Amino acid sequence: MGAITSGKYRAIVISIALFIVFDAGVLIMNFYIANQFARDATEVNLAGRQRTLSQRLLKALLQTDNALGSGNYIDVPLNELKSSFRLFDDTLNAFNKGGEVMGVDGDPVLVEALDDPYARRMLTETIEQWLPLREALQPMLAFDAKIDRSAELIMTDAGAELEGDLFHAIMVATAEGRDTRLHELTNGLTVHMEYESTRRAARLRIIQVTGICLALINFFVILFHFIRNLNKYDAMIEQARKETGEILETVNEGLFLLDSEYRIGTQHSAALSGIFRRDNLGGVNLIELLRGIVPETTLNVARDYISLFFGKRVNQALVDDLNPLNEVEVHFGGDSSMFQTRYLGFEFRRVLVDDQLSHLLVTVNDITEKVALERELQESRARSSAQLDMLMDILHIEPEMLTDFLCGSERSLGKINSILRRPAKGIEVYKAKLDQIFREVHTVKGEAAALGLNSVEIHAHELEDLIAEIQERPSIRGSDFLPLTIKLDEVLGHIQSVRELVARLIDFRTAFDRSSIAQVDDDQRSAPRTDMSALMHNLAERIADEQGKRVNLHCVGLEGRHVPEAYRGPLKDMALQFIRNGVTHGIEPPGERNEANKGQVGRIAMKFMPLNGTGFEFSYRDDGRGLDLDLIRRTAVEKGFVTADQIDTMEERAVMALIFQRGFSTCEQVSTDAGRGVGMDVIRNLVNELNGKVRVSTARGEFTQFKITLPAIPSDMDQAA
Amino acid sequence: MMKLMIVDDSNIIRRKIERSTEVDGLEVVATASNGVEALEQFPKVCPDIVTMDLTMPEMGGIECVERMVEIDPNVIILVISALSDKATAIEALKKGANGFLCKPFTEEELNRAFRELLEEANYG
Repeated sequence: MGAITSGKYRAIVISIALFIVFDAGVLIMNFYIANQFARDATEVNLAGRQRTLSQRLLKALLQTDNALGSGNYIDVPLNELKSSFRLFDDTLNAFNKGGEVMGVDGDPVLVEALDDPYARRMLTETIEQWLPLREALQPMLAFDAKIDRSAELIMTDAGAELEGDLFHAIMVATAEGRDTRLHELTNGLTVHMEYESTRRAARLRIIQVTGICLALINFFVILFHFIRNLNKYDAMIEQARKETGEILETVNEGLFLLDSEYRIGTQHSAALSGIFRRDNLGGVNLIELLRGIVPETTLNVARDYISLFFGKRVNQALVDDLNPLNEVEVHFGGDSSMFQTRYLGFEFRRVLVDDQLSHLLVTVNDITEKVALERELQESRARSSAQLDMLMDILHIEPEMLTDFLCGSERSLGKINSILRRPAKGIEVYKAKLDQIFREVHTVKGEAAALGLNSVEIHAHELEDLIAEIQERPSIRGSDFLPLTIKLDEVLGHIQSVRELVARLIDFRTAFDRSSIAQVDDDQRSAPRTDMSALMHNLAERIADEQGKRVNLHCVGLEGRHVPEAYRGPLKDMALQFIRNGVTHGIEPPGERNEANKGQVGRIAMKFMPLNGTGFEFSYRDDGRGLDLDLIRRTAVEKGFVTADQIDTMEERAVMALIFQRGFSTCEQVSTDAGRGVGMDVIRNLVNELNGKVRVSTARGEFTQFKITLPAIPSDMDQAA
Repeated sequence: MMKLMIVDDSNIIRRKIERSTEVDGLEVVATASNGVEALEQFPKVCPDIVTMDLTMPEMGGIECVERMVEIDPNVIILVISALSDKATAIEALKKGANGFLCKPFTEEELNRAFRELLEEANYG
């Protein structure tokens, strides 16, 4: 009701109420007027009858007298006289005081006393004129006119008396023009009443017309107002419908409302039909729609999940992770040639109306491409970073927690092992074993996840999957546990590799601590010993990465106590230079190596060893493309190291020696690693300083090798350095 | 002050939750390592919010949720579990849990979940 009296319906309600009031007023008025007309008509008729009666009375009086005088029957005129008298008298009385009289049609009518002053005055005078006549007529009324003949009657005393009375009455009636006056008065009354009636009728007609006009105006107002508002609301509704329609036509998502019976609403986005590959989805049960295109188990979980939203307990924001339809694989088409696998993503949101849950708003997307991309990304990420991740993971964990975890996990896995070994028979026992194992694995997984040890988490998860898969089998046999044992070994192995990594990190840290202490004590020139190998490997890898090559570095005897103190610095410089040159010039890109059937990874080997007390040999060898003697010749001539004539006469060994010239480079591009023409001359200078010798050997497409022989160091020299 | 009870069979997870709770007006009043222990303590400490693991020895989380809601229908239960099986977690919600947080979780995620639940408890 409140909604009706307020808002858009208010004006209409008020208008209609007014219309009803006007109509009712006109109706009541009509009823009143009809009554008034009936009354007026009766009164005018009665007044007109009085006028007639006043004359008929006198006529009857004269006829009676005449009949009596001539000896005729008097009963007819006498009865006429009597009835006229009574009628006249009664009516006069009724006009004066109100009462019932015989109407003109013979039926009794109720007459009210006349109340308007003019009529009243006329009535009073009429009564005054009537009373003496009434008195004079009394004997005639009392006379019994049974006597048949007047001739006989007149012979009697009664006749004589009647004659006398008649004469007297006639005298009274005609005296002072009473009969004329009575006629005038009754006539006047009639005319007055007729006039009054006409006047009243005119007045009432005006009222009636006004009422009807008002009602009509009101009706048109309502009509106009109503139609205008209706048009306005129609336009608004149409606009809203159009906008909604446009949205639903345009959005890429499948959008629809879902009721608690899982029925899809009639209004849904056009994209929905495309996603489900069928039309007329309004009113369709979502669960039935999904049946056959998603697995039955998923369907049951989905039904449970959706029903949770219709309950009050769950928090919408905290159950999104559990949505079984957030990335669901669907299969369309029973025909195998048309069979298609897509991924759909569903989102459910509560729709509240006046704080009451009315529907769920469901959004569906075809996320097939997204899923494919994600999987690709995941795979490549997993491939490239498993080992590094593990290292990084470990570095972030508090050592105490990590140790805790490793011990705990090994204990759990040991427990699983003993569970697996325990003899058992019967499906119930097997199932109990699986439950126990699952719990243990789950704990390991949870803790690994908490610590961010993804690799362990993944392994544990795989083991969990395996257990779950066995649990779902209709019958379980002892042999089903075999894959578990294998997988368990794998997990255990992985945890052990984590342990080893940790141990190496601890070693590294200890060594690092020691070397930094040593560095403080030692001469600043000497590099930390443990850094040497890592430095070379890093350099080789960095250059190879930059140039899109792959290289495997193998070093023997380059660090530690085998290298005399005096040779350490130069040796490091030379080694780094060899690596730089070797990766840049020697090692080919993987494609080129493939064509040469050499394997994609280039090999560089460096070795430092004593030569039976006569000195030391430092060798470098790579399995790259070898020195290009023609290129060296051309470059040497172009850059003016030798003349064209000279080069023709030079031996191979001499040509090779050109690479040790300062500023000599065959590389066209200058990079951080090659091309400036400094490098090999550095090596030659170092070798010269140390009184050593360098030999080069190479085979085109096979290898390049440098052998540097260094003299033995006198003990005093060693100490001096 | 709202009272929080932590139920999880892993010591590490319990410690992590305990340490991460930074929501104003939330105080850890009890911890339990399985459903049986949790139900023993429940009537003594009358917690407002419970974090609940699902896979635990003695008594798992699902049964524990059901029993707790029977004792106190107004208790707010946040299931914190590794998401190995959505159906199991949904079962816990059907039994009366209010929300779910997937292990592993960050401090921020945990605190957001608590705030989400407390807000609903205050206005809902």
